[in-house]
Amino acid sequence: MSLENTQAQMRKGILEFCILSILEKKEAYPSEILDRLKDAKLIVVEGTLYPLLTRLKNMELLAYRWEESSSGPPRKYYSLTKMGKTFLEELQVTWDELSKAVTKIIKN
Amino acid sequence: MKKTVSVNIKGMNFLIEEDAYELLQSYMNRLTHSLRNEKGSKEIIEDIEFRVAELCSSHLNEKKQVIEKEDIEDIVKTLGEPEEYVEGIEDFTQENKTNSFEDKQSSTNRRLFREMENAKIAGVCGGIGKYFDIDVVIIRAIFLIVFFFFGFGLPIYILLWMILPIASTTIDRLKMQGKPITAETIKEEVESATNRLSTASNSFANKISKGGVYSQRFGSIGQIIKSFFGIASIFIGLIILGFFILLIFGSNIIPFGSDEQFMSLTDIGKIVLEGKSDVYWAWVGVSTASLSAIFFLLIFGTRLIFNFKNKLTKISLISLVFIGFSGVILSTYIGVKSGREMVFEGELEKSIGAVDADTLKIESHFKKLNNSNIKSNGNSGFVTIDGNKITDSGIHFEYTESKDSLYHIYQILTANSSTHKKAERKANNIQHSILISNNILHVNTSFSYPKSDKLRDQEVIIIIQIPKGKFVEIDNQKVRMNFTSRDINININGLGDLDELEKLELLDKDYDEDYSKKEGILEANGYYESWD
Repeated sequence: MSLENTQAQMRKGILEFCILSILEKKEAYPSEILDRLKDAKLIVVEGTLYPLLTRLKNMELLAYRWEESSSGPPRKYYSLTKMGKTFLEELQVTWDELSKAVTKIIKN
Repeated sequence: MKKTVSVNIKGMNFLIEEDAYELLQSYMNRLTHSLRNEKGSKEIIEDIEFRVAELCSSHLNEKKQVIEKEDIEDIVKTLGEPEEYVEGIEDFTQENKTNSFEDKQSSTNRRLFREMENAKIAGVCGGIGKYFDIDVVIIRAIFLIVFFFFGFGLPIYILLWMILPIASTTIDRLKMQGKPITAETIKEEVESATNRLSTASNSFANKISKGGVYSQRFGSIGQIIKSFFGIASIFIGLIILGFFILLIFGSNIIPFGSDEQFMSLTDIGKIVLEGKSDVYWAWVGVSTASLSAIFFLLIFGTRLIFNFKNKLTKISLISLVFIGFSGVILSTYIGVKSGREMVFEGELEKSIGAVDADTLKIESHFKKLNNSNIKSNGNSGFVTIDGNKITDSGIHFEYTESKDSLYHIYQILTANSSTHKKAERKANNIQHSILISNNILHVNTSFSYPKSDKLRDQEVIIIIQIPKGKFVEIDNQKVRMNFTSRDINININGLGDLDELEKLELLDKDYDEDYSKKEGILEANGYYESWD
């Protein structure tokens, strides 16, 4: 397995968690989410986001509503469902544990 | 000067240059193709179209009103190659496993063609590869292996070369890949053909470098294993077919120079089974069973290799199993019926005479079978048919103690049949020559009986009673009786070869009929073998 591959695997696992975290604070449409993710250098190509959003929506963790835009096509505003919130809380716990564990191991 | 077209992307109108439009269209096609196994692919595509519209409008301003090729290139770069991100999400779920299974199923609708585009010889391997979605290199390797190890790869190749049409039109190419023929897929195919020609296609490079190829390969390994078993079962089928032809016709079909011939099923039936109808039914039973097995293996093998999944082959395979079983049942019935012809044993004892000598020598007589009309399947042990006579060989010998100082010789003829009387009659029909001359016992190694008597376990047993202290010399072997506990004190000489332990064992033994008996068999070639 190449370094590139390992990095991709790590990023993928975290991506869902980050999308949910972004939407926890306030609802957003894909371009906003993309901006945040690109800003954090979590994704390289935008295409990655769309299948993930659809999947999270199909898992009923996300819901969306349409909103007209003055500058372009209508926008899909995504928000967390109740289940999505619970799901994110669980992920948050796991993440905390993991990051602690990883930091500990790397430092020693 | 460039031609522009007007496109509507999710409700927004754009002016786009023609080459830019083609690039975008090709991207969307690749996306659709990559997402074909993904749940909710329609929605994903729609979302991405929205994003494309957004990105397009962001590339425009008051000065720039037309989308150019560079803009689309930039947008594609931002979105990423579909192969890249779609393969990326597949690892998340197991859903794609079932989806790829559905994809495999679609290969049922595929048609076999010869793929001339990358052909090495006549495009047969390429066509098969397209059919199974396997890399053509693997198909070529299988063909080479089959060619070298089994020798029939070449005829199969030539046969397919003759049978398979060339995928010359776009519609043929679609059928070859199992795609439905719609205006859209035709367009897609034409586009992908242009893509194939222009080496600039990114997707190709991606396919090679990314792990996405792996999942496709994995599916084809299963198909390779299937094909291997398919070839094996066809191979076994052909072997059985060979044996079957030999069994039906005997080796008469092969012009052997030898006297020995392999008997056909009818020939064996005629000398084993009681009535003509039994021979017929045995023939029917064995043929049905073997032919069903042969057809089953051939169809099953072809089905495995070419992935036929239609009802017709399934039904024919199941019915072949049933037909085969009825053949087996019929053969078994005939076998059991013939077995009943062997229940009773008839025995006939003839006294040959008594010899007063120091040693009884036995001389075997056998004639070389050089009649070209005889049929047999072995030089010893089994039977030879010569006209209306069945000649059998192997004479049994049994030795017991003589009660006086003479050698007594008896000939026992035995045969089996459905009744005791019939068996005795058959025993009486056995002809075996044996005679005493100058204190030498002359024994023919073979015996014969009428063909109409059938094979009914006919046997010839020679009983020789050996006086105490004397022995029989046969085929340069000496046969001497062991002595029982009764005689131990009288005949110390006879125990000369035994050690103390064996002597003690002998003393412990009560008089035992079997113990005072020795046996042997004189084979067709005059070789004597003792059974101790």
